[in-house]
Amino acid sequence: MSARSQISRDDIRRFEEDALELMGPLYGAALRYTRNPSDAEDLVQETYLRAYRAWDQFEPGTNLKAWLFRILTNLFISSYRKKQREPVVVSADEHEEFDLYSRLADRRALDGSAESIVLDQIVDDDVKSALADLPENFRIAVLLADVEGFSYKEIAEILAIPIGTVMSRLFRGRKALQKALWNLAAERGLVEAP
Amino acid sequence: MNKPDCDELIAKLYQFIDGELSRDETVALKRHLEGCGPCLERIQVEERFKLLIKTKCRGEQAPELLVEKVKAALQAEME
Repeated sequence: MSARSQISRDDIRRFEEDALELMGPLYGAALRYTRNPSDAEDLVQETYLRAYRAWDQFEPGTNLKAWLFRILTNLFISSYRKKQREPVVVSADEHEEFDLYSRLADRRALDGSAESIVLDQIVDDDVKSALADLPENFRIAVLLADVEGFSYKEIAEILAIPIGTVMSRLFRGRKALQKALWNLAAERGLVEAP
Repeated sequence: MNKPDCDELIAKLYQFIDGELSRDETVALKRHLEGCGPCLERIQVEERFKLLIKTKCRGEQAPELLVEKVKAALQAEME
């Protein structure tokens, strides 16, 4: 490929060293996006190929992780999700009234350790499956903010949406996640159902 | 301790815990938190929840086979 020949060996080495270093977080996100290890692997591999082909467009010194996440996320949104069956989308609005703090405060009146009862007994797989069940827009926003620690501005750039939309998806996604985990605790008899 | 301050905190709660507020806004809300137990507890619950999501979903390792596959695919692309 002719364009490729203009990229120096140093560029290639830099790509290999810096970009490949981030495969763990990219794979983790791909797993949360696709909810399937085999699709996640394909998504990561395709992300690296696209990133490599576009490497001359990456500005050294800017945020490489955000750049790679943008490629991964766009690729997922544009192609991978088409072949996926979305979880039953519950109306997001119904979560908005859920308030974890009030629930815990209500519990605390009865039992001083409500927070420990609810939050300490939640295990990795509970959170992962609750996240997997969120509507896609919320799932992506919560993952980028809470798991990967991107700023609102970075998330806005990754998803090409306004910051206000990022905030609204985060708000609704977190509420929905809190409600889902509360329901799980209720199923286990740790708290009363909402 | 007064209601408008609590309303403001609730409105900006996520921006606060996400570190997205300006320095002045952060200082003002922190001052409110010093005197308002319920708001402090609310913030702590949300911070704890955010940390929970992070710690339970982080640290995924890419499978060794995937690392090799990606390197091979990049190698093929370079040739």
